[in-house]
Amino acid sequence: MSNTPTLSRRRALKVAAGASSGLVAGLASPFVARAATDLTFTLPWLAEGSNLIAFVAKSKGFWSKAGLNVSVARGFGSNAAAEAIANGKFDYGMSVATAGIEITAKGMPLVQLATAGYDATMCIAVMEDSPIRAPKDLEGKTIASVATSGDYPFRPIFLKRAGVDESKIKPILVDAKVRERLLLDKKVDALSGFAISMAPVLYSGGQKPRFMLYSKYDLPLYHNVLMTQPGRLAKDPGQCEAMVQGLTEAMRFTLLEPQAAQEIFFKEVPEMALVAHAKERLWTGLGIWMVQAMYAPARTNGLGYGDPADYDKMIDLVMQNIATDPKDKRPERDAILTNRFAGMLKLSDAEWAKAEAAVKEFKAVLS
Amino acid sequence: MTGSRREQLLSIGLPVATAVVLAALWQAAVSLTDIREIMLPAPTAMVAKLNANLPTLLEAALVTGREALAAFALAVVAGFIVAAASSSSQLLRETIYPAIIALQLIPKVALAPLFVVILGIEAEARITFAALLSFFPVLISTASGLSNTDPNAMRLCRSLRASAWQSFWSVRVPFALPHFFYGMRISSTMAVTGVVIAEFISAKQGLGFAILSASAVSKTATVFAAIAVLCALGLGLYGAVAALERLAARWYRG
Amino acid sequence: MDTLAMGTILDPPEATAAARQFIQVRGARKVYASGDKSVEALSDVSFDVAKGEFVAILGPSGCGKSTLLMMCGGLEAVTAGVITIAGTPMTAPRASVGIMFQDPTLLPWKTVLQNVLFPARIQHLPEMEYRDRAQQLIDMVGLHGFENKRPHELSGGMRQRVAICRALLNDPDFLLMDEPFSALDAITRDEMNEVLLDIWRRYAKTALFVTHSIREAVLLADRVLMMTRRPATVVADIRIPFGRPRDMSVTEAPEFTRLCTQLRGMIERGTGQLDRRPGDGPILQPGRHGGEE
Repeated sequence: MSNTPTLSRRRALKVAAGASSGLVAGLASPFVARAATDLTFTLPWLAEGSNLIAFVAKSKGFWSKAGLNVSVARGFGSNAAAEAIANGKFDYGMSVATAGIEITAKGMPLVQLATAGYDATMCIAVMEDSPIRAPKDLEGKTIASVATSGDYPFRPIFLKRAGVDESKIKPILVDAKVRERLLLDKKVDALSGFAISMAPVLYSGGQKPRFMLYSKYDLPLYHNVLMTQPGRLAKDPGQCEAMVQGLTEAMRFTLLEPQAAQEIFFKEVPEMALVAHAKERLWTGLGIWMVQAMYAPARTNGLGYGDPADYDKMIDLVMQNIATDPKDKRPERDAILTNRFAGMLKLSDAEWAKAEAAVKEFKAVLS
Repeated sequence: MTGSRREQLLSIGLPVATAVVLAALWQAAVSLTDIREIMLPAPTAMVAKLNANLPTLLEAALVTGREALAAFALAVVAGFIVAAASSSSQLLRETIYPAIIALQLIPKVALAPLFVVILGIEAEARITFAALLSFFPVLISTASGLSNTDPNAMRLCRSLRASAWQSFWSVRVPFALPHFFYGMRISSTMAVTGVVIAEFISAKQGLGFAILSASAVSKTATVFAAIAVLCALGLGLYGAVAALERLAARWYRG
Repeated sequence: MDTLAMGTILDPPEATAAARQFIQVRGARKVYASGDKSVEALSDVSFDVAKGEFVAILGPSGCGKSTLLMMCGGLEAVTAGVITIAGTPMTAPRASVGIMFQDPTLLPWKTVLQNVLFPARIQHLPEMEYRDRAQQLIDMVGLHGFENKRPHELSGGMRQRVAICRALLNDPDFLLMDEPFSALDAITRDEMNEVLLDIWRRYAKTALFVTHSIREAVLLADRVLMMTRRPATVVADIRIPFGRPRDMSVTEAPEFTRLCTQLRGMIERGTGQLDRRPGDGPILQPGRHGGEE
């Protein structure tokens, strides 16, 4: 499945060497018309706005022009997805950065090749009319969380950093299927989770939500990152580069042409059009994705670039709060993060401004 | 050693021996291969976590156990009443059964979130869900017991001009008792699972909560310890029903 | 004991018409409808039983004699005709009619005593009063010491003894017995017959006794009604010449053997030669049947 034919592998190595010496644009083109390499790719969760770029990369041929025939599968949670990539069930995939760090610390190493989102948008969500205006107001209130959601272990850290007395919170664990419903029905006061996943449902209730982002409290928790096994990177860097290249091209396309990107999504995943308010939901998710795809590292260092300083903080967070078993091993930052292929594509100021203008409404709800 | 003593020893010894052998194999598999603890913790790791978290886990088991007991009681009463009603009237039987069979065909785990949405996040939702999940065995086996009463005994009742109520309680129910207990035994295990499934949908405490919060931070050994406590809880309830059944059998057989 | 003397004193045959026609069966017919087809189980059966008379209904297996008995007990409806007991049409079970089935039908979770007392419990009779009577009946059938045993601890014959006690508990005027001993082995059957004879020695009851055993019928009954195969009807009404009290010694009498042989011959000749109606007159010795009186 993932075995590259000898010929194209040799070619890939050559290209990889070229890429690392600074030659960038158009290097994928020699792969055209080669025997296609079949690759499997997992999403962290269902197909949605936050991972739409995978379908754009596939549909626009950003991967196939490098001879990569990628089949995209839904995932079952960020940890499960990271684990599935680490143990080779999938060749590549996107999952939450901290999930990848955690799985690596547990002894199943992963390497993160390109950042597709700079903010997992982990947050506390309330409705617009809620009396909870600031984190401190959460004391005495019920917060519903999904234990399997990647945000759950970081909730106490956020509360602490925001000056909230955690013992005064009434926590409840709920299933992802009912979480937003409980807030809309006012059975709970607040939710914790990823704004990007919660927003589409909360918006469809006709009301507007508000999100208090953990990232505002010096918790740089990246969202989806392209990951693979370190062994694959060592053996076939050309393939890894082509994957990064295709994905960042898809990012640029999506930032500049969000309407076209959404049409591609419904063409690639027609079943998602059957969901109630499918278009509104997708736009909400995509809008929030766009907001956090424009964070500083992408603007300064190019699309897909992962800031090593942010990774240092994320590794600290994971090691102090999640991977606390004595057997867990702190991953080396440079082993887990590589910017070898990322940051090659950059947007102009005019392009950034265009993208920004399209998603003004979402910037406002992410406080 | 008398035959019955030997049988008793066997009936306790064999399951224990099986468990010990399985645990040993498991331990060997984990220590001889490089299976990570996050995927499959060794029995020793599990026992260590069990020891370390025993008070918390027991407290959680108490919460889950209370709700499971309530759900089980509800399931038994509901199952018995529906069985009694359906066995006494063809009209009722034909009205109720298709709906109940249809309900049985739905994967109820998929329904669990509905209970939370409708009944809220407190114990009622979990108890109702677990009762719904576990009442079917009681219903089916009791109904089959009630409808298979010895026809001769029913004729005796008629010849004595017994009322429907009298023949129900003094003949049909005692005849259906073994079936009733059989259904109860199955239901008891389902009541525990039902509560835990419901806890996965919404919970502030309990074993389901403990399993979820441990797995959220990849403490797989703690998850297994909680599952072990869960098994013990299920076995306890099952054992209590089985003991009750033996008591009833003693009454029945003299 | 006094309580056991409560049985009805046998009326002399010359008693009132009401007593002679204690049970009246007139043109009783039974048709079972199954789907489109209907099966005639009984066709036009008529006979009388006098008070205190023990009448055996003899016929081949499956000839509908049990159906006839159940109709007399009010457990089956007649399709046509009428059955009256003590002048009242029999449409539902009555407390004054005791029934014994082929199966002893004991409740497995009740002791012998509790099983015997079961009718009292169902009919809300004062249990303390009936407890003594139950004990006496149990003693009478030779089950003393077994009061607290469960049915599964008893032999087949013992179980039928319990069933007899239960049928006699509230001193019925009329006892219906549906092949009660047919499932027992020959020796146990003789024992049970002796128990019945003993009961009738103590206090005679009006009884209708269904059997397919010629010997049993001749041994126990005052009259034997012979039935044909389906659709069944009574083809002969034979008076048994042995008086009461009776015991097993009658089986040694040459007349007993002759009677049995003659009855067997009748059955073997089959219905073709016995195409008679009750009331056509005696075949062996005249019995009493309704048509004539």
